[in-house]
Amino acid sequence: MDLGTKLGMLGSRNRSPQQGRTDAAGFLPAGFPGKRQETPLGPVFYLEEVLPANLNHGNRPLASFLKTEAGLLFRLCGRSGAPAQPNRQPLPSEISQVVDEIAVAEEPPFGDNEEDLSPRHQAGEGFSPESILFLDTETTGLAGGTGTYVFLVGLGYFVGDSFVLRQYFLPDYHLEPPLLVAVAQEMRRFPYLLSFNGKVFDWPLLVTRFQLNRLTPELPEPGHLDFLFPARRLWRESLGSCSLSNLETVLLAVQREGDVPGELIPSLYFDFLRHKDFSVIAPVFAHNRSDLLSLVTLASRAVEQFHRPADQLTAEENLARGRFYEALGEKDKAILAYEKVLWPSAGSPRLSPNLRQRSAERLSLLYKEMGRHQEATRLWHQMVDSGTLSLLPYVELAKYYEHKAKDPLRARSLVLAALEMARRRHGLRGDQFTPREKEELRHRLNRLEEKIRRQ
Amino acid sequence: MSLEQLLERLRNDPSFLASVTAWKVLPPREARMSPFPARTDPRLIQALRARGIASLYSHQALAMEEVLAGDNVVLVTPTASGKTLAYNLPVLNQILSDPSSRALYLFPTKALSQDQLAGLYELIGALGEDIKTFTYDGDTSPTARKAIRNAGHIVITNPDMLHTGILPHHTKWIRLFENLRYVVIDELHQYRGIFGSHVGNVLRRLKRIAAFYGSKPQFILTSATIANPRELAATLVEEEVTLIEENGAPAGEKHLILYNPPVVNQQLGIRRSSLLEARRLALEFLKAGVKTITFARSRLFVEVLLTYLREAFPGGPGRRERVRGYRGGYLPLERREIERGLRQGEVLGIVSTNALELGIDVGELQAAIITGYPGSIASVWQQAGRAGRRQGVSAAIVVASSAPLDQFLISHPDYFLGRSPELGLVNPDNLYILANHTKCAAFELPFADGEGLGKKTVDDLLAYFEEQGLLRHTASRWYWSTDSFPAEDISLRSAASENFVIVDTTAEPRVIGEVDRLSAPTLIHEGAIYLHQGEQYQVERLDYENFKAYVRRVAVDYYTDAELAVQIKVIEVFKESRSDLAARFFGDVLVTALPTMYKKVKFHTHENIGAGDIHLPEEQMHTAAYFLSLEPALTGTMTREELEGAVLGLSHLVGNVAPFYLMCDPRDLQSVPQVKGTFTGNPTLYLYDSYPGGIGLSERLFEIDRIIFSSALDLVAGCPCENGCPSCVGPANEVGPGAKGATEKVLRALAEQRLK
Ligand SMILES: [Zn+2]
Repeated sequence: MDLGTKLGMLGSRNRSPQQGRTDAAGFLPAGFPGKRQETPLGPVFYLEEVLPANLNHGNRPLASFLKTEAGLLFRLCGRSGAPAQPNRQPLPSEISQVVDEIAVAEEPPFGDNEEDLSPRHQAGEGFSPESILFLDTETTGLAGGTGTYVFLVGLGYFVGDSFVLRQYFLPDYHLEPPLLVAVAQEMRRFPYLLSFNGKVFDWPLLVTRFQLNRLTPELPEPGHLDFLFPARRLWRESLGSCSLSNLETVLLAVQREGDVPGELIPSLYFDFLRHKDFSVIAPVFAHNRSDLLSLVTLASRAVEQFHRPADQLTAEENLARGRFYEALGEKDKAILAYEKVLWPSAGSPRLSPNLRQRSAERLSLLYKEMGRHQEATRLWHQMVDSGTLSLLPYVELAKYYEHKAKDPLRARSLVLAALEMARRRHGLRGDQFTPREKEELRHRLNRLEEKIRRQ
Repeated sequence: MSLEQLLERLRNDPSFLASVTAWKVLPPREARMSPFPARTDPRLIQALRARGIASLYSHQALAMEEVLAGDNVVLVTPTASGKTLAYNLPVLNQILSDPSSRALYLFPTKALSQDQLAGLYELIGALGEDIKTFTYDGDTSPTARKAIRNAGHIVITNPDMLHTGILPHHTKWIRLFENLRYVVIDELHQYRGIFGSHVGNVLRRLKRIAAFYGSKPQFILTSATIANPRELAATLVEEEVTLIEENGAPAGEKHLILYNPPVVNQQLGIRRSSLLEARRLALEFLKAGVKTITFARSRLFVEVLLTYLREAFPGGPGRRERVRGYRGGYLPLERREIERGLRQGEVLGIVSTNALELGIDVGELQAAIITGYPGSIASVWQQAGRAGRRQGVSAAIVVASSAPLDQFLISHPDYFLGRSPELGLVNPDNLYILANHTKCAAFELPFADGEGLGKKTVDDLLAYFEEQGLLRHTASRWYWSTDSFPAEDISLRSAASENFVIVDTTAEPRVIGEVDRLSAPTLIHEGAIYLHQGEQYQVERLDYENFKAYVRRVAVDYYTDAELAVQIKVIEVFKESRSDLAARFFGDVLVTALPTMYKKVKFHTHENIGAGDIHLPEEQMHTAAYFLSLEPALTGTMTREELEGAVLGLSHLVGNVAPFYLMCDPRDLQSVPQVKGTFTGNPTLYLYDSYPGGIGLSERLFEIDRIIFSSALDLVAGCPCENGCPSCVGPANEVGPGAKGATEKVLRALAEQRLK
């Protein structure tokens, strides 16, 4: 039995034989329209395109990005320039609505992990639309690890009235070192990097490639902002899926024709390696280009959403806006946004109970923080009257009547109502209060009974 | 009642003694001490002194000196002999002298590494130095992982995690690999067979990556007593290894009692069930208040014993169960909870599979009851070592089952006390295993032309993988060129890569355990009773494509037992030798196995109360086999019936005795008799490695078959039954009345044959 027959029983999946074996270090892939640049480590191949900034991508010109308010964009990406609000206590509804709030629970309240940024970058030093290098890579797989190669590095930046797109291409595996060095040189020209999901995927993979090629000292240290995080915060409520393709379709009206599905990209590259025919891989360049342009216009779309009057936003967008301002500590603006959710202009679509409850919870707490107790209590009463399944208004009202209004009887009736509500909620939704919630209620009830006895 | 009192009572109990084939008392042993080696860091000496350790056991000091001299070391010592300190010492010494140094500890299981961590923490705490130790396994949280990668001086993990979590992501572990000074491999004897052959390749990959980052680690290994620890260590690490086997640790008095359940049917040679006897003994010990661990060979037996013991020894109302189960298939949380109960003493009795045999320190156990020979003498001693630590009396009772090997060993107590005859065998060059790890290695770093994996050349494999579209050869290197992550598809533990997940659908569907693919046809076929934590579940649907078994909780009074039909075709003969009486071969075969039916076996009485068909696809395997063909000169005068009986008897006996010498699970070496052999036309016995490509068992069998024939002869000649029984040639009603005599005749001839 020969090796092939024996190993055939291993059940290897991929069965198409490799052709196009080559040992030639210097060549231009057939039909490659780009440039070849010689470096001490070997040739580098890239495709360069200079686009007029007023070019439309979907329904927006690229140049709209240049007009965005840099400070707002920076803060939107979680770079407040000051530490974000520390250790916000989760609201009761967040505890009970775990499924709904899962993204909130997973992400830090605002801003992704900052520890990997230098203090200079955290402070937003030198941040402007022109200081940003846009990044998107294409790879030989999604699994990560040392056997996954980055074969296309798409970079983009604004110069004057133009948007420059450079796509560095790996025509064969052994040409990785010159590609990495060239990409690093380009990156070093920009203090900031903007990607979509690059913190988790593209950047760690690039770092791995540098390390494997013993080029770690060449690795630049840009201030990397990942637009996935603000995108989720802004649009998860209204759009659900925050994949780039969904966002660009809905928000930018981008229509891709003949686009390559992401999962086919690795196999197109392997095909290219076999045949060294550029037409095989050209669709991946187009895909990468479109991803980069969508990132540019999506970012400007996000900032613009904040400049739009609240009336023109959906309830979900106003809730997202409120949270954003709240996280920045701009409470007045947050209050305005939440109020817009709860009391929209006439003719707006009906608000879902879920959205209403979460907005009311946040708004009422903000009122309370700002000392607007009358408005806070009014809102809590409204919530209770409307039959909310949230524990928060009951507890807050009980606190209010106990400590502020000095009315322990009324406070007690609210605690009892909360316990009653718990039973109802259990019947309706099958969920219970957490042991901690129950413990707190019981503790409060005991204390109130004690107060009432002593009166 | 104390253990001493209980033992005294048993000593005076004639009915108990009637079943005891040997009662050995190992006297307490004094410690042999050595001073700290000259190069021991004073801080270390001080920390140990503070913990009451003023000098070392002789083997600890020797190990330290050998390691300091730059040698790889394998340390062979029994349980509780301070082997942990023997490797922690040189490692900590190195880190103290150069804080950039790193060490990697490999333990065969997760539970063990948790425990290691606690012990190591203590010593490091006493040192008061900033030495960071972490466990990196499937239970480690993602945030902790980042810290471990950067800061851990000592990373504790298992081969599986090294294989899928560390090596393929080696760039994240640069600090570890650049400074890797020591690799500690505990429980070396566990790394044999399939698992060991895989681990040998994982170590090849580890060394390759360490070399990429400029380090060449030294290996410190520990092993239970086996016949070939140095050979096994050297095969696994592919380097010279120095053996240290003189034990300087003290030990308390230990009783080893070999117990053979009484014969209840002389004619059929039926003995009382070992399970029932173990239950009886366990109850006696538990009722006397002696903390007792009962070991059973299989998950099934653990669950059955647990059911029995809980019936007789219930935890009172509202109280926790005082007898707990412990086995490999439990989920991590369940396992931790049980381990905690043991340590805190709220648990009095444990029923365990071999999972607990590993050096987990569960505290105060005084007695161990070992139900059936656990597959190796090393395991017997490790299981016995669970009871009793350095001081005080402890007892271990081995209860023989009616399996031939148990019967063989229970009447040969010298094997337990003399030099171990057991061989730890691995075959890291198994083509299938090597091929799989070559893929992983190519994923980790491109192969250069002519580069091997360890000492093995892999040019052919690389070329083959290129043909298959997995690799691309360019500029004198082989690059991984597909979008898969090969390590994920390769399990180190089982022959097949995929495990079946058991989903309980009694209420909300939830996963309750896993079963490996080879066991699936016999354990979780539709209709099977699957036992988990003493609960019975019936398999309602086996989704073979998606590796899921859907079960529902039931309450029945039986368990199930499945059967396979096997066919064998010889592909190529590599070695052969002939005598007038028999021809012996070693070669490649194609095995076709089809699960056919299952029996329902009633609890307690073990009677057969029903059967069902199994509808599962046929499985094919290409593997290595030893086969023996009996020539007409030997069998010419036998009747057809005698011949049949002899071949069946031979298969039963040899298939059961061989695993003892080859130190493998009986399942690892399958035995198939053919009255008219398809290869030679003569009666033939096949023994094949039950793993594709073979793991070295049948190959070694070709060398030592005469020893096995003579042990088999011993066994059959010494068996008290009349016409065959499960303990020798198999029950007479299955092998025929003449089988015992015919088998004995054939074995006698084979043992005396002269080879050409
Ligand atoms: Zn017998």
